[in-house]
Amino acid sequence: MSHNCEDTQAQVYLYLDQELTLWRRMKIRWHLWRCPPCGDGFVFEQRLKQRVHDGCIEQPPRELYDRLRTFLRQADGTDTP
Amino acid sequence: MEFVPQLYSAALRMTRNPTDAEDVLQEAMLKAYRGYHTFTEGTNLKAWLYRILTNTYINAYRRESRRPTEVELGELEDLYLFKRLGEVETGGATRSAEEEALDRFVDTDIRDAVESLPDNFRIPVLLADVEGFSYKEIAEIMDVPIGTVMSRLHRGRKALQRALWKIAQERGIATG
Repeated sequence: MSHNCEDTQAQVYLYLDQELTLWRRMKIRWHLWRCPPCGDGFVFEQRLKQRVHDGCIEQPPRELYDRLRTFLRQADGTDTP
Repeated sequence: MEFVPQLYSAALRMTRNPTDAEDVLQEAMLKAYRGYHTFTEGTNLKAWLYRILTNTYINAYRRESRRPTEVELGELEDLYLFKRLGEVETGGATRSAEEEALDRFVDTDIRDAVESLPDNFRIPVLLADVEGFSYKEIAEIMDVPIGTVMSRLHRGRKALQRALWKIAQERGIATG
């Protein structure tokens, strides 16, 4: 693993979270293009991030909205928006 | 009511159960309605709501968050899970072993792994990966410096990967 691989991998989250400047982003893209193992690693991290997102989303039960409206109305003594 | 589904999911992952999640959500929504005059029009409504939700949760469960839950992480290498799953044998498929293994996780595996993290790690991971907030927004929501957000997020994600790797081994997703 070259020094460049280490540098690149250390920035995987900054890259995926879109927290890098355009210049640093391009440097990483260039490395990923030239280094398939790092490229695969980044694709994996991206998919894992998406998987965590999808796995954590849960729709509230329908009755929750009714209970919430009732609670807010009673607690505040006014109509809720 | 626009943000209720998202806020509910976040509350569920924070409290780890539907009853407490609904309590936290109700209290947060009440605070939001009562404090709406303190919200500056044109600023970030979603971040403002998450700040209220996060504070409501932390205040309600302060005892838990005071508990020394700092997990002993040590130094986890980058791309930890990717490298572990890559060692798993697959039947000569053309798709990568890592991606196939990732597909074998079910939603409850993901939730169990997220919920196994201590608050300090779990909340930034939720705010970044589930809600898509920027580091700056997370810093405002949690009222900590951006550098703290970055280090907790970094360590939190590694802890999450380690939890997933443990689940993968237990469930036979990986036999490595």
